[in-house]
Amino acid sequence: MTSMPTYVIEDNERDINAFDRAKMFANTLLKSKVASAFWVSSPDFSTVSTEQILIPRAPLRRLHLAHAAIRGTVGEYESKLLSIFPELADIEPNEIEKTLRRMRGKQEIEP
Amino acid sequence: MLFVYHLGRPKSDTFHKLAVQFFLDIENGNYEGVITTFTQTEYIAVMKELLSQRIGAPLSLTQLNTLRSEFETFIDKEGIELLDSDDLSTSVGHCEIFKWSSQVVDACRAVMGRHDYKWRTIGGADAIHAVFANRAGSDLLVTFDGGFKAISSLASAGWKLRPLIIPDVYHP
Repeated sequence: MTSMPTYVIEDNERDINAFDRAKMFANTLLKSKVASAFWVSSPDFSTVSTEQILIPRAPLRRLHLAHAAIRGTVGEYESKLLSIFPELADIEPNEIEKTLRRMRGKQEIEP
Repeated sequence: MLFVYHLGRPKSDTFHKLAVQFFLDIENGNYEGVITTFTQTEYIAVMKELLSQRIGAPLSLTQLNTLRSEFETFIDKEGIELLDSDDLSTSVGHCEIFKWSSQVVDACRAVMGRHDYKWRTIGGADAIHAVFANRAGSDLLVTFDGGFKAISSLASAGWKLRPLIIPDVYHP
């Protein structure tokens, strides 16, 4: 992809603003017996993150070549599977999220 | 997930509306789309499970082929490039994908969610996607998953790859 996002990419340190951070402390840490430094210390990963990760470029087989989109494709394929598999209409949005997260091992299987 | 929401969700669905906006940006030439066969595999796996659950039976070969062909014709008409994940996994005759993914996991710092204050980072399969995107020469990794904000850390490892988190950029 060649375009850049239209929003500012925030790094980890700036991901939450001061208000959010204060709110977080109020919500979770002030009631905790665990030292706040244990939870919110911003660990210095500089020794890790400054190490370059160099991956050689690969000869790539393009199974579908990039080209300009055919106008109207997005509209043509919008919700198209619902006409083929009407059962999809009953699926809750969070069910899709849960399915992928479980498949990627990010969520415990619910009892 | 973008493909699941676009092809398989009703037009009233919020995530569907966000996915449509992104694909329209591709259609209008604002982005060039690149996916891998691993993305396609994950799409098929999610759809297979969701449909089997609803139908109450395993999918037939015809149903699976329908899922696959609708996906392939969509990416073809949308002009999205499809790369072979096997090519992206190997280097000079041997596979190194897991070593690279391990380095990516080590380098990615956890990020805190804006709303739930939970710390997240990327997992093993996520790291494989990040490596593929890097090797494909991509600038952006597009996803609904806010955990991918962690790959911003890879800038200090010399990577140009950045996350584009759909709900942060598009609004219904």
